[in-house]
Amino acid sequence: MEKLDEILRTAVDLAAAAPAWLGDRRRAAAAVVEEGRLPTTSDEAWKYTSLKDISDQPYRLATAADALGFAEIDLTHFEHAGSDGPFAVIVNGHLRADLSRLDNLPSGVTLRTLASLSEAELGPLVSTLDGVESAAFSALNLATFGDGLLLDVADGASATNPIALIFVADGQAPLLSAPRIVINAGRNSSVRVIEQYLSVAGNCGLTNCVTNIELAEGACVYHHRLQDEAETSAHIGRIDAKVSSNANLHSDSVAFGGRLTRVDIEVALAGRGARCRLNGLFATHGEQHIDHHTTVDHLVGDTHSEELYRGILDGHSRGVFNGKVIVHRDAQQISARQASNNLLLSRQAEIDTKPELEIYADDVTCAHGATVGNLDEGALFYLRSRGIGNAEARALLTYAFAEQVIESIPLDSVRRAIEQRFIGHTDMSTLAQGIQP
Amino acid sequence: MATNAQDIDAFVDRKYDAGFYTDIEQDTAPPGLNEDVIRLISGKKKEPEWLLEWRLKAYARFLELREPNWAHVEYPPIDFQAISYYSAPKSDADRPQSLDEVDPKLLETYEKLGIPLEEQKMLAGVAVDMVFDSVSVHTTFRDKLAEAGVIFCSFSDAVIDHPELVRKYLGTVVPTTDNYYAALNSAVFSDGSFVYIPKNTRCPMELSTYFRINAMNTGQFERTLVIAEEGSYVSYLEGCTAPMRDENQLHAAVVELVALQDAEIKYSTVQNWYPGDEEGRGGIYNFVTKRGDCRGARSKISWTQVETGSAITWKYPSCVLKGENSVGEFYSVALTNNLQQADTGTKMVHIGRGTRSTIISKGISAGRSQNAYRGLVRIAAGAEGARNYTQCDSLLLGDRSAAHTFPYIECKNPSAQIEHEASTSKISDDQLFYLRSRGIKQEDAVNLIVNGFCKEVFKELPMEFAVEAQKLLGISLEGAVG
Repeated sequence: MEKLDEILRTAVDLAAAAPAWLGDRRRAAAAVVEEGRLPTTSDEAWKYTSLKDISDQPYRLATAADALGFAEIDLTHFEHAGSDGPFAVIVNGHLRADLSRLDNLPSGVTLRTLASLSEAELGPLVSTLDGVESAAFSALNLATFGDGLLLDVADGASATNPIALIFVADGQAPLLSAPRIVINAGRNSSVRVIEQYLSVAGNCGLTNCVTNIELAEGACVYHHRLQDEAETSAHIGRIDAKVSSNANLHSDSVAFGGRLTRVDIEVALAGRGARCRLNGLFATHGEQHIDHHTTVDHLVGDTHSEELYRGILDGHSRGVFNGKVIVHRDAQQISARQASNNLLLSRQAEIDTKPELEIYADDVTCAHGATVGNLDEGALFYLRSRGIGNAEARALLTYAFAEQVIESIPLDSVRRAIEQRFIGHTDMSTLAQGIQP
Repeated sequence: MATNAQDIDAFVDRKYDAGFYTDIEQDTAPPGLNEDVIRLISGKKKEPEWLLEWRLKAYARFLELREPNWAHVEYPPIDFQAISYYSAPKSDADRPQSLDEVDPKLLETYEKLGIPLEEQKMLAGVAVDMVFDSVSVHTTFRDKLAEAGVIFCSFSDAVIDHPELVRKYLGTVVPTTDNYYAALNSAVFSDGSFVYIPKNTRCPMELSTYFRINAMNTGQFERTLVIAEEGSYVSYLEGCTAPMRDENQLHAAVVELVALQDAEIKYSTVQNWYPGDEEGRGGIYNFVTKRGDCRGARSKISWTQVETGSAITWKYPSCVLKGENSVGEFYSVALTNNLQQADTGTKMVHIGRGTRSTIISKGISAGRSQNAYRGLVRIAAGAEGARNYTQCDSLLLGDRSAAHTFPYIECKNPSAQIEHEASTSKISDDQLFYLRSRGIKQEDAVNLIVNGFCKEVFKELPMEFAVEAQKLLGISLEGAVG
């Protein structure tokens, strides 16, 4: 990034203004970025994703003032997932309380900015801000985030209504926005969180977001991530989750938007009985590039993971999936399943997929599968022979392919929103009338 | 079951059977790597000027390259200056023409290995081109092959006798610039095998070479080139075994296969080099570049390997499928025990239309070993209707062993179909219990299950190799019985 130095200088000012505990961390993170710079395609984790476009952009770090240009009326242009329940609107990395509706937060759930917390209040979460600086963008986020938000769920609280966090990249200037979210689910609590990323038409900003999710014993978190920015925006996101014993994390990552989108999801299954399910769906066209990297760390025995990622690639687009499962030494009685299925619809599209297993224990049942192919000719013929037109038949089959991921989303409103969005995204106008989700 | 009824402990504690050392005077270059050594090697072998140039170019490239570190293996840095790059038996000047002329000590070595030439000759008509250290000592059945027009000789002979063929194909599959160890091999390769099958010829017998590493501190840099002309067929067998040694020995071979239109090459390997002792001391470093080029339409290259030896294996036999409807296959069993490390797999690069590939990889890790499958399936934009099926399974024996899978799948053509599946597990208690309840001993049951696990690969091996492979496979391994 040409202007990285300038951004890092801004970060130093931010550190000076922050509370002591945060300032130190910001300075340390800025040092990490300065030393390691940004990854290139010779780094294994970025083998298929070039950051050249990003590096050439003269980004400027978004300030609180950059959040003010966005008005309530603009929000109505988006079909955001939080229309009914509580939602927070974060514009260019800064919370816009005036646009948000937080008075109806479920009982036991609080939402505060990180800067307003004392170190004592932050308590066990301090650790979530440590040790993640090894990844350049994670460190860059720590050094530069605007209003970090803490979503706290009290022990035993059960929040059935989903809480939506709506991130908007506004403006036409190349801005770097760095939202940071910490979700802290207390013992035996249950919460549903929607993270939706949007941007205004023609936006050419870079959203560099990090979400830390900490699940205490027995907690249950449903996390639905929807990246739906304009196809001119760039997006580099990350989820770091720690799952304690008997806790359960369900993560959906759906990506339709962005010119360049990269999402890293790292889950540490740290206690016995911990489980996670990672679902992913990405559909690309035009010149889009969407890259998902997931890592599931089975740190102890009796932990279980399941993963299903599906990609649909059209136009000149490129999709990347890298799913890693690590079973650590002495972590026995593990089950881990992973599947990556990809549909290539165009001669110019490309998919690169790499499901990895690293296993250091023996009493495990691990499997992964990966497929790449086109629509099934037999199924197409069947539909055609029943009088369904070619375009419609193709659309139906494409939809059916995606549906397997969509239908496993346990929240009706999110599922419907994604279905609608998917139909719009993949140019299935012929189909749109036909399907009543 | 009679042959499998070995005692489990005897196997666990067994010493490396082929571990002995024959004391033969060696004509050895002083340790060190520089242009002079390369000139020395080339001069000793009376090579033409162009080959020396080729070697020197490779060396220049080698100096620019950095040692690869991406493989999932760990080892102390190799001192390339401490290795001697040339070693040949004294009798090189006047090559023995018959068994009587062969140094009796050499024959003794083969006898200890249990592969006396006489028996080999009788066994299914296999011609054996023995490589004792770096220079080919003895070739059998040459006449019979010559009758068919097949050229099967040492690489050095080929350079002298068939320079036009060597020059045409050498380095066209694995260029000197390909990777660090390929560049090293190109600069200092000592000898190896050369095979040429003429048009529309089915090679009358299976060709076989035994590679041995014998001299202390001598890296082996074999170079193998197999050319199958239009419509020809050849099956090539390669087997390895090495004496017990306490110091690590580097082996960086290059194998190049060229299959022209309608030709088929079947390349089988049983690799049983010294893996080091229980504490991981000694053992061979096996850093090999093997690649086959399917140049013509409907050509086929099939790799089958059984890897049980070496302290470290770094090996990816690959197929470049250029010809229309060409076929690539890879069947592999890799077994690691004690502190062995293996990072092995294949690359299937689909370029031509209608190309197909199959990958079956079976990894078995026991003891404290690391066993990784690393594979690449790449479908280029023009590979219309390409097809790949990959299956890689890992079996874990012992809770300190590790198994990894790193498959890379890159697809640029929508009409291609790729399937990859992998699984990792230990021997199931149910299977063991079932066999035990039928009166089969624990070690026999484990043996049976492990052999069944590898069956898909063994059935691809020529018969005599399949027998050897079953023997080699650590039938009874420590910790197998969980």
